[in-house]
Amino acid sequence: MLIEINDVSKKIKGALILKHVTLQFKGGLVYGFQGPNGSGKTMLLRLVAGLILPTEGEVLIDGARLGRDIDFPPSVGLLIENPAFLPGYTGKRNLELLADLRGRVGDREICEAICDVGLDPEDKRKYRKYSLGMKQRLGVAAAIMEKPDLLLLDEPTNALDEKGVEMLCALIRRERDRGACVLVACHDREILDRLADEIYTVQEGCVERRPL
Amino acid sequence: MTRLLRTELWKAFHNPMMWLALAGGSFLILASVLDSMGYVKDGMNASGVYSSAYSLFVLAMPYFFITFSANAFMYVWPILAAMPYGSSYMQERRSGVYNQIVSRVGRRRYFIAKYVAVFIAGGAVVALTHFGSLLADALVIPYWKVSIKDPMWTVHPPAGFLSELYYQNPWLHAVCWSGVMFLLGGSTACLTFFAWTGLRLRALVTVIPFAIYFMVSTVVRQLVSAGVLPYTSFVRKVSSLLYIVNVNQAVYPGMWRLAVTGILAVITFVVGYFQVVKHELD
Repeated sequence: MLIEINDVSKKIKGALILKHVTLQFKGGLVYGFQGPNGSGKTMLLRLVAGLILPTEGEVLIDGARLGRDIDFPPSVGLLIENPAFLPGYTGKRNLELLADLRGRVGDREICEAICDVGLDPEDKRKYRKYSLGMKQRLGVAAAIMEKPDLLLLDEPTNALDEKGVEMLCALIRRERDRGACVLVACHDREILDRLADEIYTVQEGCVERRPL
Repeated sequence: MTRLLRTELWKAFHNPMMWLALAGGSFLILASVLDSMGYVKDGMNASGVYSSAYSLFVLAMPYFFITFSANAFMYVWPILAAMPYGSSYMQERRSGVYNQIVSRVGRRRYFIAKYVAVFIAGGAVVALTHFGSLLADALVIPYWKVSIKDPMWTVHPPAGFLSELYYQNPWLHAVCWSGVMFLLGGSTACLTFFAWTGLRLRALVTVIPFAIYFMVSTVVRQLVSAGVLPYTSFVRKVSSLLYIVNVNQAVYPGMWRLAVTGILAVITFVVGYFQVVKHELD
């Protein structure tokens, strides 16, 4: 998988959120984005996910332009901002509903993903009863369950305890080794140092590569 | 697409708002039965009134103008239609579930499935309330055929919806009318796509169809009173939008209701398409 971001700018309500960003991402690597709140990290991930379109420039996924040739990357798992599920159903049922949309994975893969993040597939509690950490874990499970080629994780360590962070790092490495292109936005430099193959600093809409 | 549609329909019919809407409909059905019992009792004591005046097809909620339940239904039906699934798009958008779904299936397919699910859920509640009231009223009112020669309390207008069928086979007419109610309820539920993305309260999204009908009717009536608009047949129709669900409403002759349904469906589809497919986040 090759993702090219060519001279992309994003303006929202007159404010320039991203300024002439040019980047390239390949499969089998973890890319970290570090920066303060409001610097444009989430916006960058949203652009790559196809959830918003750039005001200028283009985002290419394996040569196909987002918003023109394709609406979304063909195989993407995402956890952007907060984990989002239907509150009235169990965690497993939520994942089943999502998995059923594409029909690529079945019950076994769903249960595996839930176990991978340290949750219990047999847990009968509704999502609304989950703790913040459990919600975050379920969000990670939804992102990885279909074994996507592109994995976008925005602040994935939010609400996770130490054990949870370890679990997450192991999962991200596993996905990278599988060949996925992983983009992680995180304000915690230490975690990115442990995980990422390349680290970028996002500051006021400008993205610069930082030496490891 | 089939998978997505199946999932959306499953969500539409397995959520608490659907049960709440059905409970609201059941309350109206109960009120209708109580109303009908009162009228039948009064009528039986009176003299010189033709029997068909007590027919189910005159007194039941979909046909009668005067009862509490019929009046309540005329005001509540847009809310009943929007209640089951009308606010789901806004909810999913706000919570972020929208991102999870569209990244898997695309915006266009998501919108089409959502539109169909909102339409079917809203239409089902309105049609079930209507037909359920007829069946429940049939428990207390005799279902005599109405004769066109009888001086009835309410006369089905000759230009009304399938009036010939009404006199020949009233049950079949009721089934056809339920189909129209389904289409009306469905297209009305889709007016919730008019909600702007910043709207946070589910209740506000749910009252949007009622608010639109009420506002349009009120504004047109005021313009007529002020002499700005002539009181033409079309203006009468626009000023009586909430009454469109009453089968005896003479303002909407013949196939007018189907025309209104079609216009509504087109408008809501176009507005919804631009809201969901063309609208960029933030």
